[in-house]
Amino acid sequence: MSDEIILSGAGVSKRFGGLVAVNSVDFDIRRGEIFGLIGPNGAGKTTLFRLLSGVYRPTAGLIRLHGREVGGLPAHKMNALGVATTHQIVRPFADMTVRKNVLVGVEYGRSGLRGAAARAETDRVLELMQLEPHAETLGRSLTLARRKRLEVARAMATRPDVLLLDEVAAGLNPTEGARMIELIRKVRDSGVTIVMVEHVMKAIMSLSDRIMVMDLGRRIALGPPAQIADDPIVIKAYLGERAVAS
Amino acid sequence: MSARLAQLARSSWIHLAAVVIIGLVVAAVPIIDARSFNLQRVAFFVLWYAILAGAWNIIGGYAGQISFGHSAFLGMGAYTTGILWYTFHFDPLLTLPVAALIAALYSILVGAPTLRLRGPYFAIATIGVGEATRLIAVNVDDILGIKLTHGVTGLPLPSYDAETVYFATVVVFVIAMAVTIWIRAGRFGLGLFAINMDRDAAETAGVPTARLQVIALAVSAFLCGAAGSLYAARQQYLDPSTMFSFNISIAIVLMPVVGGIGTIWGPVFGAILYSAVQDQITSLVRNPFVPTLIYGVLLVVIVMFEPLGIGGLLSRLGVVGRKLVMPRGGDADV
Amino acid sequence: MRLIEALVSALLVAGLYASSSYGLALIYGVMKIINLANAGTMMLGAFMTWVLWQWIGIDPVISVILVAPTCFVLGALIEILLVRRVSGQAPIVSLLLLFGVWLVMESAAYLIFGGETRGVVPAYSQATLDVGGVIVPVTRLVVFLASIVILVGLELFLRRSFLGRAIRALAQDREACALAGIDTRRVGTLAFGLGTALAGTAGALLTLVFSFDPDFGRVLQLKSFTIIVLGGLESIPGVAFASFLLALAENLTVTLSKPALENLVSFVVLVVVLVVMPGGLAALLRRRRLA
Repeated sequence: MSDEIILSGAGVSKRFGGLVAVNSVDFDIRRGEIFGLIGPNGAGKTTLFRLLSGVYRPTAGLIRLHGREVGGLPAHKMNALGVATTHQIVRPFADMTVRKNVLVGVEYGRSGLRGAAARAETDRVLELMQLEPHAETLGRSLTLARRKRLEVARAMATRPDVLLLDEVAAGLNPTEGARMIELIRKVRDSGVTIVMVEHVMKAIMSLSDRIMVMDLGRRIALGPPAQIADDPIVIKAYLGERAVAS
Repeated sequence: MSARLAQLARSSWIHLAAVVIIGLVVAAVPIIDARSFNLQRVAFFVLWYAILAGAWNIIGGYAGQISFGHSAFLGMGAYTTGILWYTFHFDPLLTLPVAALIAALYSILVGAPTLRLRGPYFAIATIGVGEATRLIAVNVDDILGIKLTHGVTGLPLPSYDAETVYFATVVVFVIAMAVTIWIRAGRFGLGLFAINMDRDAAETAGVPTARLQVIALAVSAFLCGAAGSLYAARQQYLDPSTMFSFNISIAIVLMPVVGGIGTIWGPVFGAILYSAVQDQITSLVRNPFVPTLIYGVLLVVIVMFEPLGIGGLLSRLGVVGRKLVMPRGGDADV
Repeated sequence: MRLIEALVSALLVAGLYASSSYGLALIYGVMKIINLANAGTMMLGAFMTWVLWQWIGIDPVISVILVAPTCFVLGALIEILLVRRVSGQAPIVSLLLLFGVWLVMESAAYLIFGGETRGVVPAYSQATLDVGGVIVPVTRLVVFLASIVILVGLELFLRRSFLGRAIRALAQDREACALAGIDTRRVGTLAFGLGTALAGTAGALLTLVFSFDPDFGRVLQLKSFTIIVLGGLESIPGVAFASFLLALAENLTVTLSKPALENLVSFVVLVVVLVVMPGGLAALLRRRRLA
């Protein structure tokens, strides 16, 4: 993890009519780190996520990628600049094979590859995400764990600098969860900065270099996992839930 | 055996070869039997319907944006050729590229704002655009005080050699099929199918959804405009209420949907069925509404039970392997 | 004076438009389905009324008593047998399905009744009233009054009765309804039936004003789309208001330019509204209030 700031937000806010989902949040994400984002339900994590991926435009504040202002750019432009996203509710292309799903990312992402080179790249990504054995399965026929890996694979195929993972460990059993954690580490080691929203504490505590905690749209804490686990403000926000930090 | 067949079908070249062979066979009809006017007429219309159905399939089947207003593009093409022929005496077939281009440009004009809409809203918008286009075409002479479309009285055109038009139609058919095959096999088609299945996910995967949809509509309109031009050359009389009619738009939707939406050969099956029903049933029953009743029932049945239409039915009967008919971008398909 | 005439005329036409749009708005609001067969049901209502008038001499307004329940049953059947089967799929599927149903209805009508234009001419069809100096055809007044009655009745039903509130709840949050123990499928069927009944009623009433053939309802349906999009798809009063706006716009176009362009107005408005204001006027007003 370097000290270079790759993605940052200053005073980022998002309103939906009368509802303020994200309220003047600041953050700095360093290149190569795994940056975790946690908070109780309704804290605004997913909204912040969507602001970063280009699905929503910020009502106020600035979002910067590589120092350049990117708030409000549509999703495919964010992708072109190096930000890829997975979705909380996984959305594979249902009637395409796993291979074709990844191919979309390869051919429309930043790899610039076509034809045979694109197909080779697809194979490489499939192998990275351990999806090779299921390459010819249709998106609609995959189990949840494989769909989640496909989401990540498709995002990785676009050669991002920053990968946004939205609850990628949710719904996975311990074995699948451990596998996913492994894969995320592999992805980071390949040079990608990761921002992840999670409820599965085991995953986020073990993976993150730093964690930002949100509650009711505001940032209430930011620091290494150990510090967050002991922070009384964080514990209070989670009062009524058992936060398992290990 | 069927695995081998599936392997073969995967290759676009096979489909392309099939198209060329069909083109050659159909082109041979007037050469072999110079008196086969009726066969020529039937063949012309089947090819012509196939062009329209295949063109619609690019935006409706591949990209998933159902348009009920495609007669606008057909009419644009027909009238471009008609007006240039009538006013400047250009050879109608030479005006074909211009007619197609005008139709494509019009599609960009109406498509750029409307393609943002999703599913049913886009469909309704297309009904509005189609009808608005018809009204404009009928009334433009009155509004602008010029003689352009000649309004309801219709535009009469000089006669032209039917056989030349026929050969031109064969050529346009082959080109249209080649375009649909090529799109489906390549990156552009991949993007369209991604948009079809999940527009937002496609966006986040880097697909420029707005741009691709506009291009798909433009290609679709281009081919429709070309078909319009051919029609003008053959029919020698244009009337705006017919050329821009909702009924034609309906037919253009029915054919690929009944034949097999999103597949390569679905539009062709649909065109053949439509042509057969129009000819046979109408001569049997003499009531133009019996075919419409049949199409309505077919549409309901197909939507509910076999979304892949005739193509899907054929695959179920094992005539074509199940693997050959994959919906919306699957590997092998018909 | 001409202004008052124009306003009154627009008001009367608005009554027509509103009647034909309520059914569409209800079905879309509750089930998020665009009922392309709405035109077919209006036509059905019109033909039923004509048959009743021809054979038994029943006035169109009275025949609503028979037409509305028949169309209700028809709508419920369509929902149970057809629409429900495709409920999980993309919205375009139900669109195509109902389009097919419309084609069947229209062609069946052509086959049974033939394509000639028919009319219903009760004794008062030529009568006019002098309302403060403005000559108002009685038939149009009847339709207008009927549309007000329907408006009020519908609003009362949706706000006061249990079923009405269930329908509104379903329109807002299907899952929450299921969790609250509401039989969403039954309510959906009833809503669809009600929407169809409204369309049939509109068809019956419109026979007083228009002569019709089996293609009747198509242009009207497009205007209804414009109206429900303009009025905000979930608001019954919105429909009434938007009907008035559209009628006014058409009137202006006809007086200021060519009568043939009257319909063009609705199509242009339709496309513009869809693109610019997908939530309709209601959403625009909502946004204003919160800002």
